[in-house]
Amino acid sequence: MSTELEMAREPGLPDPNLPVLAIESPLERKLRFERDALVFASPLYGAALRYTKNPQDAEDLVQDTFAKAFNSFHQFEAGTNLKAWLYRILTTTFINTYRKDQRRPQISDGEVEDWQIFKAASHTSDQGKSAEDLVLEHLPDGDVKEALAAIPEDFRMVVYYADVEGYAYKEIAEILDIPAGTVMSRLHRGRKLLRASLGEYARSRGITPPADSSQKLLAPDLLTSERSE
Amino acid sequence: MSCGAPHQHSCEDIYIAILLSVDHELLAPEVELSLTEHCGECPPCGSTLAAHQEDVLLLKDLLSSACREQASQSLHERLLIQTHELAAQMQAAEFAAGSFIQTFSETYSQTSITIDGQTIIEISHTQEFREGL
Repeated sequence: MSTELEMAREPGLPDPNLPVLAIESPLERKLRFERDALVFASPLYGAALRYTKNPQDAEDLVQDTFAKAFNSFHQFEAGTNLKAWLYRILTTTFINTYRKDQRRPQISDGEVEDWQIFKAASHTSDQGKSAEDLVLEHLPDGDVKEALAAIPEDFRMVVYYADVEGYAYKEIAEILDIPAGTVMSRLHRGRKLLRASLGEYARSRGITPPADSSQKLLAPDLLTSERSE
Repeated sequence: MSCGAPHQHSCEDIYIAILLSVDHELLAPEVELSLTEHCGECPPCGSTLAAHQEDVLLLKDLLSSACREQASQSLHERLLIQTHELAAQMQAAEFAAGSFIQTFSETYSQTSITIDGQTIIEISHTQEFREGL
């Protein structure tokens, strides 16, 4: 077979009939996938757990994500961010498979008004932050996870990709398929919700700031006004 | 919303620049400059910037220590098995479709020999098709 093909070729010219993309064999793809993609199992599981909120579903989601990624691995452009590409697949897999039947509240309506919230917030909540920072630093990891899990998914995932994974707005926009401006507004609103929630965890645990700064504790504005959102 | 002093840019406009700068998003040089100038002459905006920077640092710190997860050994194993099975399926599909040429490689080698000041360069070219795994 190979002899026939060689004879059919013009010397020095690639055969136009050869499928160029088929140059990588399934075995080669497997090795490349194991080497380059499967190393991201842990970060993907971390994100999956934020989506599904339970370990079993998170593992299934990661497995489905890697199956889809393997089958379309030829579409991945070498030199671009493989982890972000996998996160994108994780997101669509979650939306299409795991969230199919769930009705969830849409937050997109209020997107524009977020700026009003920002504006109203500027200059008001910058008192006593340091005292509260000291308190929040002592929260157990379990509380932080719960607080993050409790905020709406649209905010939660933007905060996760920005503050745990360190992605820029543009990268998060691509992963979640939303405009960068939306990333920005969800991120800042999500952080406020999370911060308010963490403050409540601290209070419920009776963790209080040093006595001399007790009048700063607070951020009553954060703890009360944000909860109504 | 303002400290009362007149500014070239409103505190509301500067607030968006503050949010961007806190996330290290790239600002246009003139926006960067306006932000620095404004926060220098408007104490409330200056402290808003500082407070947001502190906040983000704190949240990043808390979240990255709480939310870094480790995939279980069994998940790692499932993924390896799945990858193997998918590769085998792909292999089988290619055989079924008759496109059993799996690899194609070309090698060029150059040999130069100099005899009595004359150089002969010989280039050999090999192509290899390999079938199956």
